[in-house]
Amino acid sequence: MMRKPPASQMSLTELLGLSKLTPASYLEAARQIQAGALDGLKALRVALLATFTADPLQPYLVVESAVRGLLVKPYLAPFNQVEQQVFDRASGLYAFRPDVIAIATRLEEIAPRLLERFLALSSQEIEEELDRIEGRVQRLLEGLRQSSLAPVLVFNYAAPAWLVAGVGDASLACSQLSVVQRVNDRLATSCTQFNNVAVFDYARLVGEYGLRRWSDPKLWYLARIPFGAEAQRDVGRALARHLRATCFPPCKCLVLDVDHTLWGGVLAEDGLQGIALGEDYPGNVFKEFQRRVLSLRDRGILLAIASKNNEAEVLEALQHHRDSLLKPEHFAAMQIHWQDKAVSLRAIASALNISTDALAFFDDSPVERAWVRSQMPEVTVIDVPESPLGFVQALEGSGAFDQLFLSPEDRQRAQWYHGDQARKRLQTAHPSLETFLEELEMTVTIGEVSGDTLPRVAQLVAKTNQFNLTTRRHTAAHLESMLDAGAVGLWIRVRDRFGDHGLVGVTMAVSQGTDQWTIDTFLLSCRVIGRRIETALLSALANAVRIRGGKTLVGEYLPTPKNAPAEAFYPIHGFEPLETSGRRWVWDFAAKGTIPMPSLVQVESTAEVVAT
Amino acid sequence: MTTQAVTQRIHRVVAHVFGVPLNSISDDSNPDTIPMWDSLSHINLILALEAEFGVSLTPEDTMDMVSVRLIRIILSERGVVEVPQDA
Amino acid sequence: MPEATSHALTPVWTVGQTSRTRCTIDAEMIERFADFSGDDNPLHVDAGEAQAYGYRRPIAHGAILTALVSKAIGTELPGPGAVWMGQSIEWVRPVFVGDTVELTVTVKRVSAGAGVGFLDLVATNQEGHVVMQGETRVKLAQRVAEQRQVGLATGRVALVTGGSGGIGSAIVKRLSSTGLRVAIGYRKSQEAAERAAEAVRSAGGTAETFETDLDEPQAASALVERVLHTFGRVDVVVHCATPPIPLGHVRDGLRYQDFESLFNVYVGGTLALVQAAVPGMAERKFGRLIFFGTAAMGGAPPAKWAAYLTAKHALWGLVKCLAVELGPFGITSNMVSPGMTVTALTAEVPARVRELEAATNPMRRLATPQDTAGVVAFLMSEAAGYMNGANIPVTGGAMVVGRGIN
Repeated sequence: MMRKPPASQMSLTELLGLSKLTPASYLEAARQIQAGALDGLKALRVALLATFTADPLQPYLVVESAVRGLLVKPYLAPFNQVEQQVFDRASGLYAFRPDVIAIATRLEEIAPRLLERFLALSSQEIEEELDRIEGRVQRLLEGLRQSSLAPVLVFNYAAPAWLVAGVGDASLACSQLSVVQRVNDRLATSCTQFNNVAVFDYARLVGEYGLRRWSDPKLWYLARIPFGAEAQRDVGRALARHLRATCFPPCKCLVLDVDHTLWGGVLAEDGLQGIALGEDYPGNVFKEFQRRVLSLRDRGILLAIASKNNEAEVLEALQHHRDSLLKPEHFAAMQIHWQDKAVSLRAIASALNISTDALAFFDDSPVERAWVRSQMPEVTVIDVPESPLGFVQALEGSGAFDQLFLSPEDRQRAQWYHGDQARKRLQTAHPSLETFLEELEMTVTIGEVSGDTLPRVAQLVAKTNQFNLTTRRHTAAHLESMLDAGAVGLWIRVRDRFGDHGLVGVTMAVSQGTDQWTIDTFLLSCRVIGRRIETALLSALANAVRIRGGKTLVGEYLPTPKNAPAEAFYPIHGFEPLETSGRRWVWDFAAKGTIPMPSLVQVESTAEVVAT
Repeated sequence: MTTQAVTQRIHRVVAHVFGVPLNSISDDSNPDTIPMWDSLSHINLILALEAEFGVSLTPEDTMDMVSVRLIRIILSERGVVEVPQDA
Repeated sequence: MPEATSHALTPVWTVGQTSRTRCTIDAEMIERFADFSGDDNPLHVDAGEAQAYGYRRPIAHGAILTALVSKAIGTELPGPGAVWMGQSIEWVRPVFVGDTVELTVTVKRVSAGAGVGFLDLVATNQEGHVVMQGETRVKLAQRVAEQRQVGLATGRVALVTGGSGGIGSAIVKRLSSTGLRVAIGYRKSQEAAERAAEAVRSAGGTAETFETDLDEPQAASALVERVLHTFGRVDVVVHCATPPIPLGHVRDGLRYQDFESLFNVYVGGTLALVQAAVPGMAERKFGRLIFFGTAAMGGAPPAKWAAYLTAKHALWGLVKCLAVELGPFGITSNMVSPGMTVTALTAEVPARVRELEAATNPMRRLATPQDTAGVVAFLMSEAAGYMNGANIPVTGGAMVVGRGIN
């Protein structure tokens, strides 16, 4: 499997020995790249369909993609032939077998009425235009998906260069700007309805660069090219970042230095009082950087520290400096010692159980950066400028964390990793299991399986392999019918000192109409095995069965290649063997009474399941 | 600091934009002698010249730059002239 | 035998032109004619019979006299190419065997357009008595693809007005290299004119300079007179002179006076030059008149050229008329219209405009004076002998060029 090339902004000088980033040098560089001057690039066939002249983008796209590890082979559809290329299965687009397809249209071409004639439109007509545009986009995407599974990037629409109502636009009941925004909102929604279709935020790009300077009038009037030279470069660059994001996952962890990165100055020399971090210059620059780093965490990026420093001092600074927004608990891993940074990076990757090519390295020292680049070329070394004024831009502009689709799980990831690390630390610190479990301060919630918990229950039933006694893959529908027929279904949820594990265990017991109940399903997420959680669930199940008049409870173990950890579950809990095969066990309530709830576990139940 | 002669710089830009050897460019070079020089790559040339010399070219300039000699003449109208060498 | 008045060139009819032939009609001639014609009327061949009819001696067939007319017309007047159309003849007295007859053929009238001559005939015998008289009508047929000996007869003279200018001096040089003696007309640029003349002389040719301002009323005819005085003839006129050209928009800036000097030189000058030079040319049945137009006569004219272009168009009208009027005299009249040429005149044009013209011209360059001189020299040659009333563009293929790339 090809190692992901680093997303660092290698300078073109390094890449091809060219001295200036001019249009001419981009052309020359693109030529060399396409002739094979660089190896180790991942080939990518990219098709671009546009309603304007997009050809000048090519050299920028090729060069910026190469810098990001991609060898782009572009296909530019003939001018303004978007529908023709999409709906004709024999078109050049499909013959090209693209790996990624980009669709670029502009309001000027597809909905000119919304521009110059905006004020002449009734609100009814505006809605019709919006519907028409939406319909057109949807049909295009449907058409594409019929013939290609390639990821699609759809350009959205920049704000108009001139507002018809001029300065009065914002006061309109229905302003022109808001209509364009609605077009973009609908476009984004349309994209979510298809698999692997993302918005290419052209509007944002134009806004960042500046609407006034975006176009070069002579290029438009002479050749229908809607952007000037620098804008072309920006579009090429942004497209390259998107392309990279379709091929490679983002970095999972940002590893930061601390001195002159999270604060100004050197902690070991200046001390806690001497470092620059606060509301005044230059401290506010670093505080802002911390703010940005923290927001990355919300996106699901893990934070780590690799610093040649005294660990206690660093922890103290983070914990106790009143302007430090970053606290120790924000970091999923720390390597603070005097060994070299490559060692640190490897240790961090190992501790977080991720590959080193998922690391992004932010260090103000060019020496350290060069060292890491040489030792670990798979790490994304961010190009940090000399002045901290440029740190935020360097972080944002690196593209290391570019991800086209963000899921809620991603956003939670940082939280979860953090909790897990803390648990691991605790585990190593407390050899006695009992004490460990005590220190965990576990609280469980047990409830009956019903409508709102059913999806998660069904997911566990479908996914759980290791601690799964019978590995019966009941569907949600089947589970429902079992419950309707009188089965008992319970779930268990666990919280501890470090976080909420969520719903982690499920059990189902059925009676054959007699007073003998059989445990049809018993499973637990492997994350929480060995903490008596399973005992709690079993205890609650036994009680539920007894309340319903059960006299005996039979447990089955159906062995699979993966569920060996569950083999001894019933005997450990005192069940008697029912037969010699070791597959069936029984608990006789008359003989043995209840199955006790473990004392280490605090139960908050939502059903009458606890033994009274 | 040595400034490369304007003519040399023009030739270099032309060579880079069209991907032809530097020593094949002369004042007479034009779309007849350089096959890659078509209306689309002409736009690349204009942008490259603007970037190289820090000038802004008008649509008329764009249409008139149909030979290397004309490029030189029009650039000099925009203030880009050969700096005389010291004696 | 009377001297044939024909030159090496095509014979010319002039009223009063005569041809005389003398011939003795002997018995052998009469016998041969009787044999040939079958007319053995004894009157002609038998002395006895003749006497029986009252004639002293046998008389010659009347047709023999007409044969003499045939010979005179066919070989002398007009000579080769003559076609006998019709005649009326009276035999006044008999011609006896042994008589000597003298036939005089005189051109009475010529219809130049039709190429037909009316000739008087008188034949007298040795006693001076008229034996035959009459008149005859003869047409002169033209040889198909007649090779006329135009071109490099030495001694021919070309008058080049404006011969000191860029194009003019190139023409001077080129014409003299074909063997023509050149008269160089100039207005103010005496040095340039002298230089052009010197260049001709040092190449072994003959050239003289003549100062003149063709804007002045009598200047053109005076010029031709002086040239005739110096060289004895003018065979070629290349009217290259131009006054200063006023530029301006019709709606503001132009007055009729601006048109006037252009008209004076181009149209008036042509008129006077032609009137002075053509008689000699017509006499020799050879002339070449070359005038200058401009490529701007085709397509959309450039701004501010209204006066210039109007005058050139006027001249073009005149050239066409000259072509028709003078053609019968062996004089061709043509116009040459060059595009933008590299000369002192165009040195004032901004480099960018000149370069753009050159770059967008199909030949990828501006015209040089030599390009135009070459065409003028062609018009001198045999190969251009049938070219008359043409306006020849020397523009590299462009008229008024559009802008843009590819």
